[in-house]
Amino acid sequence: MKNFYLILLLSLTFASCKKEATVWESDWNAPLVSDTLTLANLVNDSTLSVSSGYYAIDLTRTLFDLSINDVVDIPDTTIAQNYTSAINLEVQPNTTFAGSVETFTLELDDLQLKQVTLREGYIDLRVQNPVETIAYCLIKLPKVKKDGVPLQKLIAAPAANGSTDGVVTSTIDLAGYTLDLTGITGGSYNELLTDFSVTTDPSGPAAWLYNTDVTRVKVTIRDASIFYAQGYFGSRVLSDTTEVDLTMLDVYESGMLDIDNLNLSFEVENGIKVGALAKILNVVSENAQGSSVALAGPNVGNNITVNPATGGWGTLTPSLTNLNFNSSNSNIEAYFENLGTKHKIGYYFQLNPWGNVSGGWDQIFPDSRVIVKMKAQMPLSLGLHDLVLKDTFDISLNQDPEKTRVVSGDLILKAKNGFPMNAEVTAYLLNANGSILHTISGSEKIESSQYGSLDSQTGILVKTSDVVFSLTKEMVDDVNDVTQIVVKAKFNSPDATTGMSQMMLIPEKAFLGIKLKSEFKTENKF
Amino acid sequence: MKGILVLIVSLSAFVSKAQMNSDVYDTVSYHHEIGLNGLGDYGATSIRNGVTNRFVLGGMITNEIKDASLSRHGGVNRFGLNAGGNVYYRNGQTHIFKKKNWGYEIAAGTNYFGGVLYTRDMFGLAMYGNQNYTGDTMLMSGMNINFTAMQKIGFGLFDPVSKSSARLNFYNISSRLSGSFRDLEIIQSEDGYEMEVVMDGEFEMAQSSNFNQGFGVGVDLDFRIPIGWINEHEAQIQFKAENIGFGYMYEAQKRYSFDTTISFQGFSFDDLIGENSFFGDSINILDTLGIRSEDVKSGFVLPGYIQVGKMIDQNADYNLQSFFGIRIYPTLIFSPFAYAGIDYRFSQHIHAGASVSYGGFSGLRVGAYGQFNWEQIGFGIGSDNFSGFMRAGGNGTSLYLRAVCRF
Repeated sequence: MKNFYLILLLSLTFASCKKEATVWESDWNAPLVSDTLTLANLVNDSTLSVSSGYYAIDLTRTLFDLSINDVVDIPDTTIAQNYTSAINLEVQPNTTFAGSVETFTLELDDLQLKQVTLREGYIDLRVQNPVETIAYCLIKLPKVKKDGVPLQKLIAAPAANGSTDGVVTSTIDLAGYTLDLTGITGGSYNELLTDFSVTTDPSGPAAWLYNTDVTRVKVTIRDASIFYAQGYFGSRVLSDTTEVDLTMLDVYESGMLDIDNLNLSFEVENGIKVGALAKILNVVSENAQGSSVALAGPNVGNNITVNPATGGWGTLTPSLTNLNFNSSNSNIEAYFENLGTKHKIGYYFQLNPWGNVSGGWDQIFPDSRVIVKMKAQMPLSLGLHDLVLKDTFDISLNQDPEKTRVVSGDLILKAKNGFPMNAEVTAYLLNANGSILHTISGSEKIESSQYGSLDSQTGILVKTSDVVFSLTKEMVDDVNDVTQIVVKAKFNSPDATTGMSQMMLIPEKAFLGIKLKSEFKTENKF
Repeated sequence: MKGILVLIVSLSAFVSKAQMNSDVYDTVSYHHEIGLNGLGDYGATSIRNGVTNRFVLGGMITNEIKDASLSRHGGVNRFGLNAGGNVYYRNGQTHIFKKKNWGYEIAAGTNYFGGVLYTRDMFGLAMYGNQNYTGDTMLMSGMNINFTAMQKIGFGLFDPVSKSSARLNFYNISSRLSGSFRDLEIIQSEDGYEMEVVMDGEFEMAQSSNFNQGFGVGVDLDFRIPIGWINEHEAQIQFKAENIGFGYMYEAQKRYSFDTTISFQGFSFDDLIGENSFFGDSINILDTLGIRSEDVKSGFVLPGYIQVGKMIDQNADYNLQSFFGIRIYPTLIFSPFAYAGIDYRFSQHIHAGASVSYGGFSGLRVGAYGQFNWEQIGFGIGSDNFSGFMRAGGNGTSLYLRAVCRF
């Protein structure tokens, strides 16, 4: 029995031996990022261009773009015609007992359309027959033609059953039809000529038509999309405020940016054969800090005449009107130096401001458009004075102190800078309340290329910097509480001789080569 | 420390029957015998107990402890584990064959056997990290790793007098992994911004923790042959084989095979945040690295061994006798293992002995044991790496326990 207890004791001793974790520390380094940043990808995409070996801004943004259907619109329209008999009469087979030629006026506000060709559109027909024999309804639109053939449709409505009318519906595709809206006289506008007739079945029985019966014909024009229109398009006003977002500038926090020789223009392209009036109501830039700068100059708030397009089918030539803003006629530099993330542009565009001066010969073609573009051009010459850009990243790290974890380390950045500006990078570790837990400062700045030497491969000045970001044990211990990292970079464009910031052109082959590696100490535990 | 003290006390006070490497030759015939064996053994050629004991028992592995082990490492090193136990029943009274007096036996047991053949740089990488190798090349080619966890049940016959036996076993394979790195080098640039990994090999591992992932068939054999010995004495030579057979993993294992060179200078920004991000769902990272993975159902050789040695004769009429032998596992992780020792009979019921051994998972080891036998009951305890209990500088630890009941 004594032996048994000793075996039991041994077993228990062994089983309970591992009362603490096995722990050791090791040091690891690993390359993390290796890349080269250039502006080359932005060239020729309406953002940047290269001029004389230096980058230049060539920014084009479309503010609005109106097509034919934004200018000319035929709303869904229903034409209802009801026919009654004054007396009770027995209608013989093949007898027309209802119908008429009518002119209906389309409700088009101040548009006075004479001719419209539809790209798409439909007519829905509905005939209600009160007679107890089949009735044939012939619907003619004599001035609605396709390839010269007027539109007409014959549909058979079933016989009424007692007091229940016989009903038939049908749909006609209007794609490609041209609507002559000059009415029966040929000199009017917005008038649609219709010719309806309802006839009893030639091979059917005679039937009674009572004076209480109503023969109803309903025609609905819907979903009309214009291909071509001619007439007077009215003094329509298109006015709105559009917003251009440059969210990449959302990182701006403080400091100053100098830019030079900026040229901004608004280009109005009018593809409608209608004279117009354009006006830029206001242009306001608002930066990430909420500061606003309004563009001021002679082209803001004043009417500008926009000529009609010229030519016709296949030869249409839009008119172009440019509104220019430069350093001498506006505050355009201050406007852009505000580094706005939101640009609000209020505009006003009025067709036919002088009324129907064309005699109803306004024309709009399938490829007619009214386009307003904003264009900016300038050499990319920047002067940076403690310009601070900031970005915030959400982060969620979870290190279990009872498991293998990083206890401290460095992030080491080797930067080869070909841009003529320097940057001091600082990271802030924030907790859920937004409070700064720790600040990680780079050991030195990423120096400007102006302090470097000539790179034989690119032919530009390049400066190499080694920047160490140390993660102390205290930082790593708090890493589970970090919910955001704020990275701030302060930029300057110093002259290598004076050390003072000044305007610097960005060379075409400028690049920022980045190599980032980690050197971490881990506590391995299991 | 408390555990070690308990073991020392046990070894000195515990009357027992234990012999780590050699069985005891006993010609006494018993009608019934029930036995229980247990072993726990880990050893290393180069890693000192300062490290391995902390892996097993826990604790901080300081730089001094790591340095002490690293300094012992050569180009090729081993570390391994062999643990398990079994229970058996022998019936010498019932004879299966009429013309033979063979008894039968039933046994069941479990075994965990595994180890790694590795280079000095592998130990350095695991314990120190790769920072010490900046501007250098880590050489880890030729590494081999194997581990098998299995349970067996078997039925066999034995000679009640000589105790020679043969047993057919069926195995459940509950876990297995194996890996072979014909080439494995990690080259780091001087500035640490570039890394190159040269790999050629394969690695196979289970995809689940299921208890039953494969099966096997094997035999345990134990033949004892008397030969003439010095001073006209007779000695018993034992030819022993355990777990000789084959296994098959019918639950698919994940096999990674690679013959590739990976150069890495860091991720590009497109790799990290672009539409074709390296970490995106559409990118197979292993494919990108040139590592192929496949599900395989494969056969393998069970972790068995063959041993030849001179036994201790329980019936000898002298008190001091020798034992020695050699054990071979057909695997790279266990080098040929040789042992030798002396046994001294203090009284009719008490034996004790000491041994030296070399090979296996480790190098030179010194063992000791004690054993006690009554008529119907016996116990034993021993270690073939007794110094491992005593010194942080040892190269492993082992403990063997045996208990038997006869009637």
